[in-house]
Amino acid sequence: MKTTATQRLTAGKALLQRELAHYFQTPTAYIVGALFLAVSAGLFFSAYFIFERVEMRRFFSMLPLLLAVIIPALSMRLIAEERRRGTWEILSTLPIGNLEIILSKFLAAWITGLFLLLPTVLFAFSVSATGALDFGPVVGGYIGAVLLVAVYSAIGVFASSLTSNEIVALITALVLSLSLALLDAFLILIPTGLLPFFEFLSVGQHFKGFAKGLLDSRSIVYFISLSSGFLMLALYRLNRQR
Amino acid sequence: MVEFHSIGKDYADLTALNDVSFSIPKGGIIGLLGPNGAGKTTALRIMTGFMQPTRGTVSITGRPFSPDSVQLKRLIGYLPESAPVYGEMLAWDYLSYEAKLHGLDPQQRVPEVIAEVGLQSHAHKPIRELSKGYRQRVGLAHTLLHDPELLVLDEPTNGLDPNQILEVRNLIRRIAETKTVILSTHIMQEVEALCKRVIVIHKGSIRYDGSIASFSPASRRVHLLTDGVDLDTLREALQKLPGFRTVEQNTAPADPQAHTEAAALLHTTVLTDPEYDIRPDIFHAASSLKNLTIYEMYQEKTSMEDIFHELTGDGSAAEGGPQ
Repeated sequence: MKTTATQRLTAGKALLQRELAHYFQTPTAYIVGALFLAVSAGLFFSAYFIFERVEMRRFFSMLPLLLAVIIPALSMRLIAEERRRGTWEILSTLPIGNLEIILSKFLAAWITGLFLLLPTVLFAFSVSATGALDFGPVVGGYIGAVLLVAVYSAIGVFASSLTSNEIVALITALVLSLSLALLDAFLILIPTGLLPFFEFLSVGQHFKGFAKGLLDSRSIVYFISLSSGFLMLALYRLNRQR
Repeated sequence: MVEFHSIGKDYADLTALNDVSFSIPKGGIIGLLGPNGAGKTTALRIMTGFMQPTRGTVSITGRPFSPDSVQLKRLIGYLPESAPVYGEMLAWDYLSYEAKLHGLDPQQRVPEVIAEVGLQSHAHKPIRELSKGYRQRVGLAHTLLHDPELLVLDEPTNGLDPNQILEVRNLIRRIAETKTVILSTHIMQEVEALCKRVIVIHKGSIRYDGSIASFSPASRRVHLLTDGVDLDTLREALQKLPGFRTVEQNTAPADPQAHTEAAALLHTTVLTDPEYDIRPDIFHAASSLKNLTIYEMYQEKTSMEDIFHELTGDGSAAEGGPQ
């Protein structure tokens, strides 16, 4: 006889597999992936050939903004679609808790987001072929990107838990993700007294450190806290709707 | 098996259920009957852990039940209205996924339930391409996967054609041989065909809870076409009879074809207690009134629909059945 924890883990795994299958057995992940790759390659290599610097910093500097658009497009359906189709009623009456549902859906979006990042590793190898690339900032940048995708995926799950309309979920996730991503650009307008607070909130500020090859524990805590916070909000929202 | 203790559910500006209590023992098919918007689906959603009641408590097999009762949810198989399933998936894949969610081996359990609901020929088709009847079978297979003790079906024959309705009803009967089935419906015939016990819900409250056999009207109506005495004299003679409640004069003639002859006659409706057939007594009472001639006397036939209408009409409640 399986224990409750094992049963819940098994159920969560089954849900994760279905979510991943939905992304990869339908054109969704491939279309979004191709779009992301084309835009990021276009922007990165056009700048690379102009400045001719053997580094990936320009690629990583545009990641917070690019992923703030791409990840919400992937995650908008996670819960909203289940609600619209009525399958949410079946899912939430199965022996699986809302926590497992949220974590499985979050993991599916996160893994798919990372799959989108995977081909961009080729950018690093292409650049290294033209000169001596410092792989420290590259590895740091990718660690930051993994955490960045986690935050945006958590935002997507939260936005999707608010509504049965996928477009509303997309817009909500876009607004939240872009606000965090663009906060960096508006810091100049923030009063000096409030600056440290808004700097700490800005995704860009934390991500910059990773792109320089610095693994700051405060930034790691920031990304993990933000992801957990949005997942907890999603859980609270789903529990409240009962 | 299932107990509702003073359950209430409020939405923003609507009370969907108000002080609903009932107890459903193990075994058999129980019908939850009521017009659309009566609160049936809300009751089922609370029963299956989709919703939390605003007031009251639910227990399943004697244990407190809430949406967080993951273990108790294993005892329940729930099919919401219109069987919402993932249309793009093959029936087999969908059931395999659900089996994995229950921690079961799909290779063993899926073929069993597919055979149980007669889905063999359609198991490898996308669900969206199946007829409504087969889609409903996929939904029923989903409820049976983990071999639950309690099956909760919300309007299981809604939208099906007559043949499909019969097929699904037979399937439900077969399932009920080993499990407790609670089904909601607004169709009287469904309850008559399947259930031994019925709970009638209207405007969030229970209007009747009892056996189908004792699902009787709150009163009987006997129509009289008489001559020779006026209404007061007739009332005086009838009010001594057991079960008599009232007698009222009808303005319309009993038989529109016989309008001319009936115009001069007195057409009345006698209301009696449901357990009495007052007709023999009226016949005998007529002999004590010298001038009374009975031209016609008949008792109105009350269908299940009439009783349902009576129970769910505004301001009425069942008088016969146990609450």
